[in-house]
Amino acid sequence: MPYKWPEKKKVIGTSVPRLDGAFKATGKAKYSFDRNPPGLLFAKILRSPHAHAKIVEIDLKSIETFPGVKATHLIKGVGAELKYGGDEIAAVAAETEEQARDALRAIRVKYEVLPFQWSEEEALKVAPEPKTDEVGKVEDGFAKADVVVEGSYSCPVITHVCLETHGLVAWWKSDEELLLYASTQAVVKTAADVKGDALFKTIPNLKVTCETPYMGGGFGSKFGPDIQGIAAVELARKAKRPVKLMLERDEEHWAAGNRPSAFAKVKIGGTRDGKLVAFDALTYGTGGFSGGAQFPLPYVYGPETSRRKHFNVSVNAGDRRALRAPGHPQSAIVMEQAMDDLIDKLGVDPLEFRIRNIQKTGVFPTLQPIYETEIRLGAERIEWKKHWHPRGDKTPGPLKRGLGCALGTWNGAAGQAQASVTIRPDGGVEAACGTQDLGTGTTTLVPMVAAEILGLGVKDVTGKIGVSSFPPAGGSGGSTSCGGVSLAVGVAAMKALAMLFEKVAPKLGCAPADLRAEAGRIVSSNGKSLSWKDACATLETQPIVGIGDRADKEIQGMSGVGVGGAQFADVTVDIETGQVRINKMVAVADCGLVMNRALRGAAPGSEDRPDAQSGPRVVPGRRALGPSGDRGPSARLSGARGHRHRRAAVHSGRGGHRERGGQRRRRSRGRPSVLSAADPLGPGEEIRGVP
Amino acid sequence: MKAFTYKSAKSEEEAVKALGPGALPLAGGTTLLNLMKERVVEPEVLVNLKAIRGFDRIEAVSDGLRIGAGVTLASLLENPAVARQYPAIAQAVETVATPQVRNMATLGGNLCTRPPCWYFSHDLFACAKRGNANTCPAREGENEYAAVFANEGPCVAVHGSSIAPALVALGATVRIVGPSGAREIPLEKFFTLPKDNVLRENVLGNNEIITHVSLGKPNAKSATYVVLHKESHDWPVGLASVALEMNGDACTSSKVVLGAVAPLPWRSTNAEAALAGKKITADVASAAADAAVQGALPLSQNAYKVQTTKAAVKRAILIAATGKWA
Repeated sequence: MPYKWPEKKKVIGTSVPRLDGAFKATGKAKYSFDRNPPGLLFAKILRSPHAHAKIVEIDLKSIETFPGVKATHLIKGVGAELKYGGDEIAAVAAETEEQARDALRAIRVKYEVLPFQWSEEEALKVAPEPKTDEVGKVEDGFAKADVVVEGSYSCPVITHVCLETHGLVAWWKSDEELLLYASTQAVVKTAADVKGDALFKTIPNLKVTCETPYMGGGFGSKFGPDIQGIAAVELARKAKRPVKLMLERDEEHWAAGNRPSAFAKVKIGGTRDGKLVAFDALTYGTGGFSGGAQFPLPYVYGPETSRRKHFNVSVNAGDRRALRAPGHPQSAIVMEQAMDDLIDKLGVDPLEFRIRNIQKTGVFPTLQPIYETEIRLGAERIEWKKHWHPRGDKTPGPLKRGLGCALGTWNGAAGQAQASVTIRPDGGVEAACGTQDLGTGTTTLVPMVAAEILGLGVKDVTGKIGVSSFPPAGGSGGSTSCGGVSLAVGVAAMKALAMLFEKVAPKLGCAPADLRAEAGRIVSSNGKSLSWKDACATLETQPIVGIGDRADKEIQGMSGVGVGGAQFADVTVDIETGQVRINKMVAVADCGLVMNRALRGAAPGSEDRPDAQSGPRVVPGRRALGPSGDRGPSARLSGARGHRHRRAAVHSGRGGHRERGGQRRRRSRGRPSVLSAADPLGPGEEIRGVP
Repeated sequence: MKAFTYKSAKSEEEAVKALGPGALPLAGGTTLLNLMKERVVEPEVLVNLKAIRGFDRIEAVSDGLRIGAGVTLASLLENPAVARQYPAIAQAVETVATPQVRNMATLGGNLCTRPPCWYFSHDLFACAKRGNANTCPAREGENEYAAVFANEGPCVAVHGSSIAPALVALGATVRIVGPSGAREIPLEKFFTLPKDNVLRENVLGNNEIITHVSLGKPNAKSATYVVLHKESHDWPVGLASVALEMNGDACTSSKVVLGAVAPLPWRSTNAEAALAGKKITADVASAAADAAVQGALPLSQNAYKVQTTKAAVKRAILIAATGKWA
């Protein structure tokens, strides 16, 4: 029988403050950075000072006798190619950070400096010719257009800037038992990657455990041990002492990933009766030396005809990693600006034109009515009718105010996860899952879901996450954790409860199917009941364990994929200084089943990235690179004053879900999904506003 | 960071005695410690100045105000006399860094700060100002924040003080003590250009310190306008401080000093000439702003500074004269 969420929810959708909030606020929470096992050594990485070079000579012997040095590890030896300024060469572990740094400075390396590439424009000239994606004939589309607009749009590389830098503490408890305290979005994968690394996979019976009860943000950049993590493990093995290797802030910008740049030359055509008929784009971007810089186009909107040619260009810079909906911000930046340019020339209503031209394939027919609702709600909240005007604010003086709207989408399926729920004879309940809490509230979510199913309070369940030896779960990224973990924990709790019902039913003189768990009791339809504690006592000495697996075929319709959102901005631009001030942001989110009302409201994230702060000038594709492609300038993050504006996150009132595996839930406009029907938030309810 | 010896001076004399080759004075440390961590500077000895008596005092004196070099930027910002009599100073201080940094950073440290240049402040790069190269990596490199005036020398970095332009505009003097005693010079004469000595930004010898900044009677209407890329915790991309002496509607004399555009606070006599004898109107302020950027020579990435500086000059003049720019 398919599993289902309870019709009436008692815990899910209520407001449960973070269980770990006080620990974080008081500093009791131990992050990887805070782990100091006895005998700890500190490690640092020697990095390439050149954008592109080959190692001709390197000697680590000379530093082995350096004061405090306990181990060295060569990452790239003679002949190795160094692909960017910051590429890892060697690592050293010493008694103090200063000694490790001093030792690094003493390493003599001879480089053969190679030609390098740091400009995307130059790299484009030598990029391999990609294939062209074409829908219909764009020439025919442009022929139908009343207005054709051409423009160039771009956004630069940005870096993740996680509050806690990348890194880990490696602690060999014995020759075959390794404990990692890693700042990671994936405890299970981090442990597995270390275990499978060429340096360690030959160790018989190697057991690697990764523990990450707290971590300071990842944004898609922390899915494994990384090169520095492997180096730390090897240094710890050589030194036979625990080693801490956390990156410094500048290393984060060079070597810990980035969101690729995006450049686009777009030609777009539309008709005065509101149809987007043609879209032709030549795009390129770089994510560093591997060149990967994909982003979907056309985005959200579906021109009748389209053509797109995209070049991934390689430059001598650190490699890209996922960053918050990889590719999608670039897509939105390019697409929405082109849309605005076209809409302006067509003289049509910007919101109606958007609604009318949403894609007609894939997930979009489902999203279409959701977008429409979102746009209507958002327009209301941003006071579109009152404040919107065609391009060109006629107000005298340099301060010009304008409104904008943009749509986004993301897949966000429930990710793979397993979980166990253990019910003990003394009434104790543990819910365990090898997931991790990125700061998104998973620590609180896990006991909430188990408590919901078992008819208990959140405090009655001990949640256990952040350890790789717990039932395995995937990395937390791409909005997959909340869904996957909830399903696994929910089903594990349902299975455990079913086992408990088997034991309790004879005591209450009924069949297991007659039982339900509510308000701390097991209640029979015959009117008899037992307290949770007494019910669990029927287990005598044997705890019961329910195992939930997100891959279970019986899990259907409990979560969905494919969301769409609309965001609105009210900004003032000082045309004499180029400064942009946000007056108000409204994000209308299609967020499905709200698990914890206390933790809703992720909308400000859209402004949190460094690129959200527009500068006094436009420098297309400016990279964080030095004059010769060497390591250089760092990123800019918006500060507190840049966030004084009013903002509101509004729920669309719909789930926006379809079932996994392509079986789309049938839905029509105005009919909320199963999930959002159960959602305690009504359409348009403001879920977080800052006055 | 390289190991160093720490000394704490209780008096100006002790400080001067402890300083010398290989030693550096320490006040708030908000710039110095970063540079030490990056090994951009590697002093053998650090001499703490914060324990010098009176070093952190703001005193009203008969002919103006005397501000100790150890006064924190936060104290300067909170001082009602400064805000009332010399608004250009308060308006500048308010834009410096963050409240946390302003609680530590001192006025003396701000005036003696090292350049906000990402090449100079990183140990990976060699540059003329570090003394380990003859060239300036920013000249051909990422120079979007570099100077547009006086950038022909061996270093194109701008001066890092956002407060110095206001003090120069207000005619401040600075008291310096060294082995041969104390001297007081106009602050305008305190700063030097890279072409004269690329390793320093001012006239201080290595065993000299600033002890006070003195301001004369507040006869001028003053204002500072700062253009920041971000709204907080950022270096300015346009800054102007002005002091206007008025006779009725007419501007009898003025000082217009630009920040963030040159290796020192950049006084614009062109802009001052454009104001001389005029009634301050938006058009007059605009003309002065145009005059202020005459002769600017932007590098490959910083031409925008001409525009941001013009906006800052115009607005600072209007605020000084009328209390508002728009």
